Amino acid sequence: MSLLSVKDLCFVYSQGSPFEHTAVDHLNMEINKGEFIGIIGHTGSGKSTLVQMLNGLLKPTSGHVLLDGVDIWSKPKEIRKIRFRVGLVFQYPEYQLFEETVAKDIAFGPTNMGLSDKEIAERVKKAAKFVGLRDELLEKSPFDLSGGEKRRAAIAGVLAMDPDILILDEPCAGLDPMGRDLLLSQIYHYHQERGNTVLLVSHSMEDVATVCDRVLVMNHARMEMFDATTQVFSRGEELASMGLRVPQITSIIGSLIDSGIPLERGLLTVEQAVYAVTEYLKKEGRL
Amino acid sequence: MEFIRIENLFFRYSGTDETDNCDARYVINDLSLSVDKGEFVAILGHNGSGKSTVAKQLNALLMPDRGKVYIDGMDTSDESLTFDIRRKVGLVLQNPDNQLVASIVEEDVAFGPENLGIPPQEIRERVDDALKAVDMCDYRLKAPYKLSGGQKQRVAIAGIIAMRPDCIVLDEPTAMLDPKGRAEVMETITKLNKENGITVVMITHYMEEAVLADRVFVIDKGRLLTQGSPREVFSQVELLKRHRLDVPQATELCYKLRGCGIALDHLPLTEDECTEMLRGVLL
Repeated sequence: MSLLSVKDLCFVYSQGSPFEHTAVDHLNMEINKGEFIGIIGHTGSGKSTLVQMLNGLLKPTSGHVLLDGVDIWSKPKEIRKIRFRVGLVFQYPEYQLFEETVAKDIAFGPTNMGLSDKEIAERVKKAAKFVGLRDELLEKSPFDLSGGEKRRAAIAGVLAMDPDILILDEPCAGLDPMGRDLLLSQIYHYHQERGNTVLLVSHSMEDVATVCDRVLVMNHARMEMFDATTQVFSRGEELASMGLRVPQITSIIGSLIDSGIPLERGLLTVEQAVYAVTEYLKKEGRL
Repeated sequence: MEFIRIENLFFRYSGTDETDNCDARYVINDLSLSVDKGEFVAILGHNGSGKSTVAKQLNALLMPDRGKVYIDGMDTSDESLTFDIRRKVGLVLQNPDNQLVASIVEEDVAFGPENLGIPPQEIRERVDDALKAVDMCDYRLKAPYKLSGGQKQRVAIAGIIAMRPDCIVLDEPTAMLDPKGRAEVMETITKLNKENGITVVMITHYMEEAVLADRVFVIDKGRLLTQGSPREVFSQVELLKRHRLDVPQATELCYKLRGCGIALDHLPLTEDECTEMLRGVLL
């Protein structure tokens, strides 16, 4: 049985008014435990509405979200428990920090879960370590941190709830290239170590290509593709028609293949491309 | 002709260091640079390097602690010139939602010229021209909240264009946009520079965008680390990586292949150039 499944999921904003707008249209999908899923799509394609339904912040207009086979809205009064299991990090989460100290801010989630003081302290420490926040920062006010550190603190606050499913909406937006790579690798290692499921919403095809097992493509409220990362990024023209694109490296290798050089299609990272090109030259006896 | 001139600029935000005054606290630390009229320059730097502070110095939102910033010969620290400077230099920020004020696109674009006290007839003309320049005429009667991110950002740019500035400063204008929106905004910026002769200063974290500029400045710890044409700057792969920056994937691929012993005489900047070079090597 899949960990999370979605059946005929629909969401309509302002239903029955002149502003009626369908944001998610009859979506069906299944996600297994331990997968790292990328979600891409143009602005307004329904990505954010979808992830907000997955953790019960929005109630579907129709259809179901099943966690371990159980509809998350079967007991509406217990929806809060779902949010502990499906943790959502919003876009620009640094604007949500509010506590006196970083440690207290990270502790907010676990405290609401009703954990013991000792366990809360442990979780705060662990979560801070995962995102690379140094110990001495924990007693500072969150407002004295740099932008990148604030972002990390906010993500740690969700990690501290130790959710089975972690959803991140554009976690790397606005970070410099190295900050982006570092945060992404920390999320990846967290995922590896915890074996949990991660959903990454991103406009950066390069980021998605680097870390995701499968990619879900949203287009005008519908799920257009949901397939292995290599498969999705080998459909460059279709992606372009949806306002998306493939990573620069995938496109370069694609053009080389088109001009008759037998390389593997769907290469996603610079490292893979370097390997493919050098192996080809070695095989040809030219390197 | 020189349009922007920054001379030995020092700046720190007040309240951050009342206890000690070591120079390390300066966000901008002895920065000098100049931009010619009609140039398109990109400013790169990691988070906290001082890029955005530089942007705000360019239209007198911030003023130097020491050193000088001249816009078309006008000293930004002379408060009697502040309004003239802001008329010449328009600023576009990261989040389009924070920059749109009216409920109809064309009213939003008219906001700037209205505040400049331009006669209504001319405002009409300027708004139409500005919307045409960013290719948003069809949307002039729409509500901004119904537009996509790229469209909103183009409306924000139109709002600046309508004030007929000589120069636009954009602080990470594409950070919140999807790939298509990003491409639309970059196309608009390039067009304004090439066809309308507007001087462009663009701050970005996307190396592929910096490649489109005439010149690239790299700022680190409030100082100028290096500058030059995109080709000169992006050939310094090691230096950029050491300062938390990156190069386009096309450049990185060839840089690494060169490290594996493949003879490439220079590093490409764009996808097409890279494909062309590799075709030469592989075929």
